[in-house]
This record gives sequence, structure tokens and C-alpha cells, in this order.
Amino acid sequence: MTRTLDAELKTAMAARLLHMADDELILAHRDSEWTGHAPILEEDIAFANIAQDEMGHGLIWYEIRQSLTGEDPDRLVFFRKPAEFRNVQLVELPKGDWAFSMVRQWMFDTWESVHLEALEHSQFAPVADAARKIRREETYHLRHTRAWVRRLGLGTEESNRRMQAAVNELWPYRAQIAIVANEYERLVEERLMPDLDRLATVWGEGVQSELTNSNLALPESAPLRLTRDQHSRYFPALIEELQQVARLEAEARW
Amino acid sequence: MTEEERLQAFEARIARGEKIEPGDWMPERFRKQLIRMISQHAHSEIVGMLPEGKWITRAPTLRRKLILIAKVQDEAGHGQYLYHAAETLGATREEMLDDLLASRAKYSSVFNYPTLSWADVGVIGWLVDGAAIINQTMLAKSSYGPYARAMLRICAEETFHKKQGQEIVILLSQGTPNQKAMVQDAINRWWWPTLMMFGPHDSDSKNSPELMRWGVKTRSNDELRQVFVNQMIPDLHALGLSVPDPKLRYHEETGNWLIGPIDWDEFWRVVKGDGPCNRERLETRRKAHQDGRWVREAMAAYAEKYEGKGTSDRSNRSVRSV
Amino acid sequence: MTDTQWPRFEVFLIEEDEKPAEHVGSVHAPDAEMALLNARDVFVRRPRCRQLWVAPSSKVLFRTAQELKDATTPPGNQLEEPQPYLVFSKPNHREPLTLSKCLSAGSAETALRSVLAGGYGADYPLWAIVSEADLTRSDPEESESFFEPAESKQYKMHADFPTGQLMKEVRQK
Repeated sequence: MTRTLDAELKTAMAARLLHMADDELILAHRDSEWTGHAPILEEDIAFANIAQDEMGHGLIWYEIRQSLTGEDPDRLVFFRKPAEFRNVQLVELPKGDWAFSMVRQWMFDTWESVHLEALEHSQFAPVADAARKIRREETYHLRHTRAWVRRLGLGTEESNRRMQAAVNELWPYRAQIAIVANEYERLVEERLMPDLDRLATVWGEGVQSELTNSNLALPESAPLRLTRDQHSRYFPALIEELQQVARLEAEARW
Repeated sequence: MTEEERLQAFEARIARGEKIEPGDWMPERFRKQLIRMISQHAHSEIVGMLPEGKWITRAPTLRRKLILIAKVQDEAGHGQYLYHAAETLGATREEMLDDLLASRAKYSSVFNYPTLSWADVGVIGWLVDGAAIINQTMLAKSSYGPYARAMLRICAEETFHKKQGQEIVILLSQGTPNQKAMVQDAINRWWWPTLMMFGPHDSDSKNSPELMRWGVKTRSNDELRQVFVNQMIPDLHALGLSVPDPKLRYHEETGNWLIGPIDWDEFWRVVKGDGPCNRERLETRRKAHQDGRWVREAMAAYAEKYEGKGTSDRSNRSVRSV
Repeated sequence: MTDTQWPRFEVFLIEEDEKPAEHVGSVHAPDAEMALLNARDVFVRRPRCRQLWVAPSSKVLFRTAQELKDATTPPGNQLEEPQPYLVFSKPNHREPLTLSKCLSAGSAETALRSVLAGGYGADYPLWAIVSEADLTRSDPEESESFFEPAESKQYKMHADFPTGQLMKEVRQK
């Protein structure tokens, strides 16, 4: 049973799907930068798997959005200006060291495990179905990043120090993921999308205990109040690189 | 059994088509040659991740991005299978990597050339991986069991590499004038390095006779090179593309496309480490290795502290279900 | 600390429910949990897999037909407490190294000898023996997240690229 969406709901749904798709795309972009540079061969393979999965998830959300607005995913990805992207800043920050990328991925994976579970209950079937499929892959990611966070947290004095530095830097970015536009409220009322504030609380509590078990502390710093149209100073270079080849020939087939 | 008798029995096994397995008696020279060959092959896969890997972030469609990440991931996987095969012969990955990063080990010189445009990704897939398939199909019949098995696994995945490259080249060759120019330029730069992948001419190849007798190589360099040229030229011409060889001609009687002279000075220069990207590629691998040292140590430290004491996450289900 | 590439773990894979476990290679990992995850990423990039097992390489005994013929080593300590062992055999050069017997024995060596005493296998090129205790298996409850994703990545299967058709179209133009 799926709801049919009126024009207003379609717009709101399309906007939200763009958030989710852009998050996956930009995270996949940063993840893929590790290919060929990971600390050990097995991790080149593992992180490339995560990058592929996230990119695939992005494609799924872009395609559902396309069924609502008709907009082609490649056109969205390769021909929007930086200011038009709607991903959170957490995913666009440069990859940093291995600890940084691992903590960032883990934050995203733990958020997704809470978020996707809620999305499976959406009254809009394409979203519910997609969430179910994506969740399979995310379950595996979480197992992977969780194992790493624990090991690097508890491993050596140096790994703990680097992990703590990563947590300190990334933790303030967590709030942006639950910040929504006004139109989102109607999606929640119609049970098409979940209440993100509630999810964010559940998420926060879950990660807290995991960090403590890994000998890592949550910083006291206040969350950054950012909306999704606000990007970091790193973002224009990221988009320029992403779009470089596609923009050489705007109408060509690649 | 004397050493001589053992050697005869060993060669008789190979002549019978038997596979040598880890633990079997083998001449020390066989072991050394194989470790050299297999580790070189493994290093090639690893270094080969870099020239294409750098185009992942710029791949021009979502599908191309997915394909390229998967391809580079495969290459890491292939390196992995090959290091495993060398390990069964007694080599360790620490030693093999040390040799690579200290520039003591060789890898296929084709990966010392720069990738200057998106078209290079297509050309590497179709030409370089196409050439690799021809070589690897032969090696899959190798007399050393683990190497043959690694080759079979690799061959199964390599077809995807070649076809995705061919698809890119086809589209570019039939695309806009800019795209056509881009792909022709890429072919001009990669044609000769690809031909050199098959190794020196048979008359100049000093390792080949022994490798043939020991069932590691079963066809000659020139033979395989000719197979490749005959496969590629008709397809390239059909797409309106040319190769940078003014002496290329078709030989009616044999049906072979005959190539002009290969610049072996260039080949040996690049093999010895003086190619455009040798230093850069090794520097990148060294940096990744050095930067990753604290990670490898931390993971080893955790295992020492927590494994086997029942506090690991595998025995603690509640940690996993949070 | 000398730089490490971590210890090796042998990897065994079950392709389909009815098929026996097959030895497919090894991975480097700091511990068994990471070995399982690494094995999945290295060996299950494409279909098909139903189960994955890993065991430290140091705990897996490999024996070739030649080694068995030349062997003068006495059988393992008979006083050891019998434990379940898994015996993998490679019957010839074409077939893979697969699980052929599970039995109780005091050591890997005695497990192998028990199997050989059955009157077959002396000419099998390769054997591998590992104790159940040293094996870590993938959790059936996690099979979906472990193995299903590989099935749907069409973009990395060569059948997804219609190069034959494309070349044909170009030639016809």
C-alpha cells in the first residue's frame, strides 16, 4: 500500500530525497579517495566496497526522486553549482587520516542504522523498499566500522589519540543531519518520513556507549547550527573535481 | 634420491601435466623464479590501481564511477590473490612490500605512464587489460597450483575490465569531435607501452626457455603479442581509430597484422625505473605504507590484548547488537 | 615494533547450500573477526556465497601427495584429547580443495591418517586439515547483509556491457 503524493508532498519528498542522495554521493566521493592509499591492501578492498555501496545508495535515492520530478540523476550530480547541493558538511570534510575517515564513516553508519529502520515504515512504498535493501548493506558497513572504532580506540596510545582528535573534530557536525526544512513536517505528519529529532536522540545515546567502550570521550563542544545549503570552504574544490570531465561536453555520452 | 634424480622426477611431473603444490619438492631456482614472477605480477596490480584510481573522483557519470571503483577494487583483490600464491612459496608480504617500496622489485612497466585524460581509462581497460587477459589465460595453465588457481580467478574478473574499457572507447570514438580527439590521443600514447607488456622479443628473453621447460610459460612473448595485435587492429579501424605505427601492414598469407619496430631503449629505461611516473607511483605507495604504520600496529596491539580472552566482539554478541 | 602485515588466515567458502566448503585463498587480518570481514570483501565481490569460514594459517595443516609419500614423521600425540577436525581434499588437478570429512582425532596428522586408512586418497594432490576449534564461521543470521549485496551489483558483471552489439552497430553505419 503506497500513498500517492499531492503536489506539495511531492515537492517536500523530492527535497528530502535530494538531502539523502547528496549525503551518500559526497560521502562516497571522500571514501573513494582512499582507494590505493589505505593502510593495508585488505582495507583498499574494504573501503572501496563501502564507497561503491554508498554511491549505489545515492543512485537509488536520486532515481526515486527522478520518478517524482523527472530530473536525471547525472544531470543533478554533474551540472549543479556547489550552492545547490544539499549534503551535510560532515560528509564533505577532507578525508584526513585513517582515524578521521573511520570515525566519520562510523558516525554515518550508526545514523543510517537508526534512520533506515525508521524509513522502512514509510507509507511511500518506494522509500520503504529502498530502505530495506540499503539497510542490508549498511548492516555490514556498521559491523566493519564498529570493529575498527573499537580496535583503534583501544589499540595503542597513538591510535587512541588520533581517534579522540577525530571525534573532537567531527562531533560538532552531528546536529546538521537532523535539521530539516519546514515542508518536512508535513511528510512526518503523513508518515512518509520519520521525525528526525527523535532519531537523533536515539542515535546520540547509542554512539555514546560505543565510544565509551572504545576508551573515547564525547567532547563538550556545542553542535554547529548549520543548514544544508551551507557548505564548508572545501566544497567548491570537491565539486569542481567531481564535475570536471562531465562539464567538458555537456550533452555527450560517456 | 639425489638432487639430479629429484630434478628429473620434478620435470617428469610437469611433462605429465601435473601441478606442483605447496610442500612438494621443487628446485630452488623454480621457487625463486616463481616468487619473482608472481610478486612482480602482484606489485603490478597494486601499482596499477593508481593511474586509474585518480580518475574515480572525476568519472563523468554515476555508472562510470561505480564501475571504476569496482575495477580498481578488483585490482587490489587480484594483487591479494597473487601475494597469497607467492606466500605459499615461502615469501612474506612484509618482504615483498619492502622490496617493492625500496625499488628492488619490478612491476609491469606499463603502469609507469601517466593517465592524462578520461579516455585513458577506457584505453587502459580495453588495451592494457585486454593484453593482460591474453597473458593470464596462458598463465592459468601454469604448473604451480596456487598460481594457476589465482590466474583463473583473475581471468574471470578481467573480462569485465576489458569490456568496460571497450565500451568507453566505442562511445568516445562515436561521440563529439573533442571526445574523438581525446580517445585517439590516448591510443597514441598507450599503444606501444601495451605492446611492450608482452616482454622482449623471444630472441632477447633470457628467462623464457627455463620458464617454458618448467611449465610456467607455455607460449612465447611474440606469439602472444601477435594474438593481441590481430584482435585489436580490426576493431580499432572499425571505430575510425588508428595506431601510431606508420609501418603497420596486413600480411595476406598469414592473416597477421605486422607491426613496426618496438623502441626497446624506451622499454628498458622504463623497466629500470626511469619512466615518467616510476618515482611518483612508488612515492605514493611508500607514503600510504608509512602513513598506515600506526594503524597496523594498533590493530596488532588490540589483538594481542583482547583476542582469546573472551572479550572480543565475536564472543560478545551484545556489543554487536547495539 | 617491526612493521606488520598482520597474520594470515586461510579462507573457506560455501558457494551454494548443497556444495561443500572450498578453500579459496587467504587474507591478512589482525584477528578472526577482521579476517571474516576481510574475507568477505576480498572473496565475495560477486556471486555466489552462502557461508564463509576463516582459520589462522598457522593452525591449518597442508599436505601434498608427495609429502605423504616421503613422510617419516610419526603420527601425532595419541594421548591428546580427541577433537573435531575438518579434512579437505583435492582429488585431482582439476577439482578444487573441498571439505570431504569431519571426524574426531587427537591431532591434524592423525585425522589425515584416519582418512587415508580408509583406502583412498594416497594420490590426491593436496589435503588440508583444521580443527573445528580454530575455525570462525560467518553467522547465518547475518547472511543477508554479508552475501546478498554481491548479487545485485550488475555494473561489475561483464554481461552488463554490450560491446559486441555496440561494435556491430558501428560497423553497420
